[in-house]
This record gives sequence, C-alpha cells and structure tokens, in this order.
Amino acid sequence: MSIQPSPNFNHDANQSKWHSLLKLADILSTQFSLKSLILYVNQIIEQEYFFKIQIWLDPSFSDLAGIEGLEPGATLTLDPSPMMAQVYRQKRIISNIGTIPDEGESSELMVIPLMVRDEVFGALQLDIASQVRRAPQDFEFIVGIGSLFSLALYYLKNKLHSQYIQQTAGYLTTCEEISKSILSNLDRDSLLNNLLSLLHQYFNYARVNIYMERGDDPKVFKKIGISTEGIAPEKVYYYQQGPGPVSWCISRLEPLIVNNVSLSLNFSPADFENNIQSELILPLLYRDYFVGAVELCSQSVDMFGPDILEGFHLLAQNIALAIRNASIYHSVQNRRELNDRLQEVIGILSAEMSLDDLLQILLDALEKYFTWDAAAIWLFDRAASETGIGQFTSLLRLAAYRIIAQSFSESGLDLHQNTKELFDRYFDSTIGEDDLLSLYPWISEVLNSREPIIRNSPFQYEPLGAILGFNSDYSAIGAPLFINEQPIGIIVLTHPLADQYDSETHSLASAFAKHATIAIENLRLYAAAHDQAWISTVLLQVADATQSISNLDDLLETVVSMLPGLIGVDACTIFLWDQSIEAFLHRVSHGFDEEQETRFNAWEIFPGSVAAFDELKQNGKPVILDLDSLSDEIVLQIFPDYDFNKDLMVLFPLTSQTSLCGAILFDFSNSNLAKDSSQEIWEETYTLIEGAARQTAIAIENLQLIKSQEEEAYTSIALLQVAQAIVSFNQLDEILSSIVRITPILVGVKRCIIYLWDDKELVFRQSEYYGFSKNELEQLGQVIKANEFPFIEAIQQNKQIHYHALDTDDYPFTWSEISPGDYQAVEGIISDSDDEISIKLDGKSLKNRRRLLIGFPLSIKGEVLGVMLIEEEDPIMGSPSLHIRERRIEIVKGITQQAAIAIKNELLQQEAIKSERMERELQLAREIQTTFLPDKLPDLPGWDISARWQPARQVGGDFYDILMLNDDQIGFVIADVADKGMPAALFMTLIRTLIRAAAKEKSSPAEVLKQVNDLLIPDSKHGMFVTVFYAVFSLSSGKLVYANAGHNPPLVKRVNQYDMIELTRTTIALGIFDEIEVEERELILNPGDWILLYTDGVTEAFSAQEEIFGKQRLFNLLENYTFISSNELLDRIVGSVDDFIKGVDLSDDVTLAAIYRKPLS
Amino acid sequence: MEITITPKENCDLVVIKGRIDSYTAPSLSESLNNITKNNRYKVILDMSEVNYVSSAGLRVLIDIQKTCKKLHMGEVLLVNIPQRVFETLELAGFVPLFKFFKNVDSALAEF
Repeated sequence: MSIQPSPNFNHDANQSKWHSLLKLADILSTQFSLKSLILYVNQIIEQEYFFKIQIWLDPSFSDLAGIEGLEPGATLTLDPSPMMAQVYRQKRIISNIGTIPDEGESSELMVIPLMVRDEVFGALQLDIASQVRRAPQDFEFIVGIGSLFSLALYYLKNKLHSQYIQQTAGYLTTCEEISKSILSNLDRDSLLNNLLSLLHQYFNYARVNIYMERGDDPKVFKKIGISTEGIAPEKVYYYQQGPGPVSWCISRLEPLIVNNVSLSLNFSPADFENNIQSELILPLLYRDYFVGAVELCSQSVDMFGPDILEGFHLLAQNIALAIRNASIYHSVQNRRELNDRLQEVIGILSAEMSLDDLLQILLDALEKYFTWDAAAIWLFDRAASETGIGQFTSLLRLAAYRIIAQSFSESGLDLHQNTKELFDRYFDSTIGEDDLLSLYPWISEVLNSREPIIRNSPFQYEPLGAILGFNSDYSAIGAPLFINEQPIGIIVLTHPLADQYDSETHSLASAFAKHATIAIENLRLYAAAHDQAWISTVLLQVADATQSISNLDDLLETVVSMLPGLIGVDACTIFLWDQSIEAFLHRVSHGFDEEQETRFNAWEIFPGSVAAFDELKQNGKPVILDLDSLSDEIVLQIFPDYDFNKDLMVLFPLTSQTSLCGAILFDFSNSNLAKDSSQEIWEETYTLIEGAARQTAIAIENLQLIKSQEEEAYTSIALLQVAQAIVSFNQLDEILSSIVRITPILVGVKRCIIYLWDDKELVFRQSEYYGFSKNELEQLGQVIKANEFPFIEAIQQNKQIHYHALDTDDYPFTWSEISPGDYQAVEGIISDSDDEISIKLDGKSLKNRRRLLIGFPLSIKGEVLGVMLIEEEDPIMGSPSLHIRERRIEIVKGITQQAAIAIKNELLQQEAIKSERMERELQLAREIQTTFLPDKLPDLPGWDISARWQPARQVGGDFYDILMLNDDQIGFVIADVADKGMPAALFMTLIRTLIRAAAKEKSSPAEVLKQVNDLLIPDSKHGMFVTVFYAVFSLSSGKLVYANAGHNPPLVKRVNQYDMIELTRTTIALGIFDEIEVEERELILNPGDWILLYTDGVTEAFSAQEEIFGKQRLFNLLENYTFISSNELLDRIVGSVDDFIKGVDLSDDVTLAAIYRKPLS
Repeated sequence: MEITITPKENCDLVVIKGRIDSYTAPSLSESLNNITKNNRYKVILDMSEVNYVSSAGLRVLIDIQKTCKKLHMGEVLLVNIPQRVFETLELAGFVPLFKFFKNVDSALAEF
C-alpha cells in the first residue's frame, strides 16, 4: 500500500491539527501528568489523524506517579511488540509498509521511537491500515507530536518537572503560613504547642523539637518536642561543648543540615534520636539575640536541600520574634499584676500592723505569683545591723516561713509535722554563724550578690531544701532585701523538682524583693517612731498623701506644700536628678518668692559645679549651705539675699532604697529652729526630714517604675500591632503602607517614608509614605540615584540609625541637601541589665533641637533592603526630652526590623518564583529547540554542509532544517521567529513541522512558503512573524530554487569571483498578510561555489561598547576568505563574532549554515 | 530607550530614543497600547533617535499598525526613520506597511 495524497487538501483540517500540536506544546509548558499526556496524545492522533496507536514505555516509567488509573491495553501496552523492541534498540523510525507483515503483526505498522538525543524512553506504534483518509503530511505531524511527547517524558524522567518547583515554592508558602499563624499568638505555652503541631503537620517530619533558653543559665535549655505520638512532656537539655548536633548549632548559631545520619562526619548516629535519618537544626535569633533552636527530624535521608534553607531561615526569624513577643507580653502582664498587688500591700500598711502580719501578707503574695513548696523570710536583727555586709549572717533571724502541705502529701511522708518542729527550732531565734553561714554558704552568696540568685549546683544546699530533705537537683531562688545599700534580710523559695526557676522568676523576684523591702522598712519606721507621735503623724500623712498620687508633678507639689507646715519651716524646694543630662534640675518650690523661684528654675546643677550638691551626692547626708558649699558666683546669682551669718538653709537627700533621686532644700531661716538649737532637737528634726524624704523618694521611684513598665508594655504592644498588621496583609506594599501609617500613631511622628533599595539599578525607590503632600513627594524624587541624597546613603553604608536636627524652616525638599557634616549616627549600646539594645543619644548636642529627622536602615543580617525616614512632630513647647527620643527610636527600630523581614520575605518569594519559572522556561525552550534541530547533517556525496546554532541565554526562535525530498533533491531551511524564550520555541516547532509537511506536498519553495503563511495567519497574534529562507537543491546539477520571506539574504560566493551574490527577499516575512505573493528564483551552484546562510543574531551581535557587528564586518571577512571547509568557515565567523562581543552575552541566537559544492575531482 | 508621548489635536506624537530590542520592546508595546486603549488610533512615531530595532521591535511596530488600521480608524506614520532602521524594515519586507515622513509637520498634515 502506498501513500496517496488526500483528494482535497483541507486547510481547516490542517489548522485543527496545528492547534492540537500547539496545545500539546502548551501542556508541556505547564503542569502535566504522564497520564494526562498519554491520554491527550492518544486523543489527537486518533481524532485528528484517525490512526489507532499503541504506546509502550520503558519499565523505568512504571513507578512514575500519575500512571495509575490508566487502563493498560488499548493505548498503553505493557509488552513491546517485536517492531517496538526493534525501534527501541535501533533508535529510528521503522515501518513495514509495503512489506508482508510478520507473524503476529496483523497489518501495516509504523513505529516511532520516543527519544531525546540518544536516550530512548519507549515507542509509539501507528496502525496504518486503520486510517481511512490520509494526508501525506500527517506523518510529519505525528513525528512532531512524538518529539514533543518525548520531551515531556524526558522532563518527567529527569525530574526537571515542575513538581520540584512546586515543592520549593511550597516550602516558602508553608513557612509563611506558619509564621502568620504564630505571630499573633501571645500566650507562650500555647504558642509553642501550636508551633510544634504546625511544623509537624505541615512538613510531616517525624519529630520536631524546640529548645528554649531559660535565661538563668546559658547551658540549660527547655526542650519540648512532638512526634507521631503527640507532644512529649517538657524536658531539660544541657548544652555541652562538642558533641551533639544541637549543641553544635547552639555554639555556632548557624543552621545545621545532616542529610544522612549514618554518613555524617561530625556526628555519630548515637547523637541523633532513634530512627532519624536526616535533620535540620535552626538557631532562633531575635535581632542578634539567641532565643533558642528548632530541630526538624526526618526518617528519610536527604530531606533538607540547601534550597529550602532560606525559607526556613525566615521562618526561624519569625519564630524567634513570636517567642520574644509572647515572652515580653507574658512578663509585662505578670510584673504589672505583681506591681499592683504590692502597691496595695504597701498602701494598707499602718502603724497598727505588726511585722508578722506584714510577712504573712508577703507570703500570700509570694504564693500567688511564684511556684514553690517552701518559702521563708529571714531578717537581720535590726539593732546589730551596723557592722557591714558579710558579718550579718550570724544575726539572721527566721522571721516567717510557709510550707504548702499539699505538695508534700504526694511524697507520703508526714513532713509537715516534722518540718514544723525543725523550723520551730530555728524560728524567731538568730542563727549562729556556724549553724547557717558555714552550713549554707549559698545564703551569703545571695546577700553579697544584691540580686536574686537561682540555685544551680547540686552541692549547694540552702536551709529549706536541707531541712526538707529534697533531692540534690531541687530548685531554689534567693532574693536579698536591701535598703540604702544595707541588707535587711533575704527571701528564699524552694521547690523539690529540678529547674523550676528561670530568668522570668528572677526578674519577678527582683521586683518583689524591692517592694517587700519598702514595706518592711516602712513598717519598721512606723514602729521605730511609735513613741514620737508627731513624727509618726508626719510620716503617715506623707505616706498617705504620696501613695495615692499617680502623677509626678502632683506628688512633688503635694510634698513641698505639706512638709513646711509639718516641720515648721517657711519654705522648701525640690531638685530632681535628671539621668539623661546628668544634672539636678529644679522642679517645684513652696514659700519662696517668685524672683527666687525664677533663679532656681534657671539653675542647672551639673556635677562639679556646686560643692553642696557634690557632697550630697557623695555622702547621702544633709548639707548645710554655707560659704564652703557654695561658690561666690552661685551666691551672687542664686542666693543674693542669703545672709550666711544669720540665715540657715539645709539640703537633704531624696534617697530611695537604691539611689539618690534628688534633693530637698529647707529654709530654716525664720523657723523656731536656729543654728544654736540643741543637738537633740536637730537630731529629731533630721530624723523626721529623713523619713519624709525617704517616703517621697520611694513614691517618686514607684512612679518612675510604673512609668517605665507602662512604657515597656507600650513598646511591646506597639510592636505587636505592627506584627499583626504585617500578618494580616499579603502584599508587601500593603504591609509597608500599614507600617508608615501605624508608626506616626504609635510614636508621634509627623512624616514617615520608606525607600526601597533596587539592587539591579542601584537606586532607591520611593515606596510607601505618610504625611507628605504630592508636591513634597515630587521634590523628594521617586528614584534616588547615587549622590542625590547623602543622608539615606550614609544610613545604607553605615548600617546605622542616623539623625539630623531640622531647623524650623527645613522642609522635605531640603532633606536631600543635608550634608555629611550635619548628621550623626546613633550608636547602639548593649546595656548591662537587659538584652535589649538601648539607644543613647548625645544629650548636649540635642538640647533645644525641636525636631529631628531620623533615618533607620531596613536591614537583615547586614543587608540593607531600604531606609525608613521619620520626622518628629513639632513639639508644643521646648524640645522633647532625650528619654522620649530614645524610647521613640527604640520602638521605631523594632518596627523597622519587622518591615525588613517583610521586605526580605517578599524579595525571596519573588526571586524564587521568578527565577524558577524563568530558569525552567529557558531550559525548556532550549531543550525544545535542540530537539527540533537536526542531530547531524547528512553526508552527501559532492557536497560539504555544516551548521552552527548558539542560543542566547533567552533563546530566540532561530532554526535550520534539512529535508531529504528525493534521491536528488534536498530542501534547506533557515528561519528566525520574531520572539524569544518559550513562545519563540513553541512557534518555531510549529513552523518547522509546517514547512516539513508543506515540503512533502509541494515541490516549489514559493508554494511551500505561501502555504505556511496561509496556515500561520489564524495563529499569528500580536504581530508574531517569522523570516524564512527555503531552498531546494539538486545534488546532481547544483540547481538551487529558493524563496526568501524577509530573511537575511544568504550569500553566494562563486569560485574565482570577488563579489558575493545576495539572495534577497522574494516576499514579506510570514505571518503578516493573509494573502502574499511569493516570487521564486533560481541559480546554479557550480563546483567550488559556496553559500552562507545566517540569521540576524550574527549581524546584530552587540559589543560591550554597544557597537553592532553589522553586515559590513561579515562581508569583509568573507571577501578575503580562502575556502578550506564549510566547518572551518563557520568556525571563523563564530570566532570573529566572539572576539567582537568580548564576553558580552549574546543578545540573540546565532545560527549559521554553509553549503559547499565540492570541486569535481 | 525613552518614550515621550505628546497628545496632539487628533493624533498622538510618540518620540522614541534609543534601542528597541527584546528588552525594551515590551515597554514600548505597553505605551503604544495605552494610546489605542483610549480609542486613539492616529499615531506618529518620531524615530530620529532610534539607533536599533530588533525583530522584537518590528513586531511591536507591526502589531500597533495592525491595531490602528483595523476598522480603518487610523494609522501609524513613521517620521525621520534612520537609514539603518529603514534597512531592517526593508529586509523583512515591511516597508509597504508604513508611510514614511521627513518631519513631524508633514506627518501631522496627513491626518
């Protein structure tokens, strides 16, 4: 049976075939499963071409997912037919058309190998006899389908398939989802449980553990974990230098991936949990502080590629942030509650209350806010407490204790009775040095440290644990009670289980001890003053008055108006120590005239400027103002009317339990007291004033404590609001927009703007803003290039917060003119008391600077992603205090940290998606193109043919093709599709198949191009066109018939002739007009003549200097060229282009072919 | 590449400077599509400062010309086209698709 042309060549039928092929190409460029692919191939071949087909695939495909559910039999066969097996071995198309079918082959068959390059995946068998109406070009179509099908198989097999991309993109999305669901959780315990479940559930890891630093001891970690059995009870993990992957990660603060436990070089399999094959450990860092670590364990090897690390890295940052937020919230809440409670305790103190009652109240409070089984309060015997620290232990008296009986009942012992006896032996009697200090050196360690201490050695017992017979790993915390640097006692809490107390307990205990000290000391003061009715009345009045006031100004006002009357003087005035500028400042006066008050107000008392204040600060004792303690200048300016012989002013310290917070000056000049009053009266007065001053100082300090705690709570709440804003939006611009809007509300900022760094163009781009007019924004500029805005460049380069003091007439458009001398960097200093970075501004330089422009780097791990500028609000009067500014900077710094995370997240996502999609497209496009280019050119007697194809990074749609038309004639095609990348590659496969099909049917090149154009039109969208040169050569005569549709004219060089002939255009490029006229020309290629075909990638190659290679350079090269071989000719041209572009990437594909008719031998 | 669009009374004047290649073509295409989206189909392209047009650039020119000429509502006129760019058009056979003018005024007179 021979192939008959179909009687009516039908465009419509062909067009539908094109569409099928195009759709197959589309399927290839998107997600596909093997099953859908086979079904589709079967569908098009059966429905468009009416062939019955059978597909056989190599056994390696049997375990590829997606094949289940596909009934073997009709389409997919499990056993190859003899011809399929032959095709598989021989890697070429075989048909038995025209021969007598072998046994077992019922009819005429054609089998196409499914292969890419030399790799065969299976075979596609066509049952020729089953087709009724057949067109000759159908085989070309089916070979085209086979090629695309093969490519798809190639991708599936080599796992270049998008599954992988989906997986990595999936990680990012999952990490983001987890981040979102944990960031808004403020409950620490539920946060951790939630996090564990999410990690376990989303990623399906066998085990997930979280290690949390406990704060008290850097080597002790709280470990909580989850496995398929659920959440495991909390354990303690001890960090050790050296062994173990977790310790490795903690010591280096770097992520650790172990992808095959048994092959690990650094660790032995015993270092890992049972059945674990691979694991990933990430340190959790908040800013630069270590919070803990998370460990993900899998029972399979190789679960953690480096590509997922970035997603996890970001997740780790978010986890650290969430933990940090929850901890802040937790401790702020706790401390606040405790504070309120203790305030109440102090408030209910009265002279009638006994010390024992007070201690019981304190024990009640301890029971409410701490976990313990036994607690005790030891107090120093007051009378003897004058000899200095270290000597006191011998005089400690067990003043109160409590045992929570319930905890003991579990142990089965009647400890309560027993211990009570033991305690009673100690109770209310001072303990001898030998008894307590030598037995329990831990107690003196606590007293000497002045801060609470958590018991951390199994060898150091303290009395409670020892008496109660706790195991050696029991927990204890001791808090010393200090007032004016004098110890008054110690509180000890104990718990029979290990590791009950952490940094949280520590800070709570510290706060508790301070309040307890005040309460005890106050009570003692009352007691001591009991006989002196008037003193106690004064003190009680001061106490009553001060405790109920919540505002510093009101408090001071009350004190200065109350004290003169109580003490019997006319006037007094208060100076407070201002920590930020390190000076005493006048705050409030009573009884002085206006003139004097004005002089006080103008007086800033820096250390070294007034001897009286220096002495006060140094000794903490009252100072009489006399000629020694005041300089002449001060006397002249501040006390011009003061008569040193007659008048008397005394400066008293305002000292709370720890520090000097100010001074109070009494004017005794016109009082009943005189310089010559008896020593006794003076002492009494001094005692009274000292008591009142202490009350006042305590009240001031309490107010400051409340204020700072409110600020701390405020900071964390501000940051939480930002965090919540961030998680509630998906788009970066929405997130940044909410940040620039929230910031002004939170911290009193007038304008706020974010610039993002574009690291491709190396410019800053305006992003979101608040408080700017359209005009101001324009003046600032959308895009900021180098040297246009030195202020933000400095922030970027130094990676530090910078500020600049604005003048009243500075407006946004002058910001870019701020020169390097006019701004300063803020140094971040790590303060001793807390892990937070505290912001310190230079007080002197900022004095009277009403408005600052402050710029923050938006950076992550030293990479600056952008800059945020804030402009302070215009103050109502004066300039904002340093404290407010520092606080503001701290809050905004926290906000910018979160903004940076959001930006980085977005960049990572974008990059991941873009680069993966692009890479995949590029790869696929190149792959398609390579597949459709001839593997090798035929070896034709008398002819020497070579070709080159060098794809640009973004593949253009170049191709060449050679067709064996009959024994004497070959067809040669060179073409260029006007597009790049995937669309060009797909279009090119269409053109190639179309030309092949048309060439089988028509012998005239003009007719072939015309038919291709006709078929292209319906598909050609958006001006898509292709330039094609197609020629038919007679091998024997050298006659060449060609048509050129807008392609770069091939060059013919005749032997012994200098000039070249250009085979110019005979019609317009294809795909533009519906109907085109195509001219056809011919010439004879004589022996020794050659023809060069090329695409515009050659003549339009650009050099680094943006020069174009051009036709002239090509001509110069060819005109002086002595022909050696077609191969050498092409090498020469490619070499010349390479030299010209010198390392610049090709902007377009370079495609060349040379056809040489060998001289007759 | 820089694009400046100046709406005239009954047409739009587009001045293009620089290279129209596969990297810049998408933004040119976008700018031109924005004109036709507003139902303005008379476009003058001043190309005196275009030094290179790749095949991707040709595609944009053809696409916009097809859009403008569809329904006979307008046309794209090319002004001041440099020799090298003209040769590129000539090579692919696209010269008949366009009318060429020496200066903007003569092109304006055409509408």
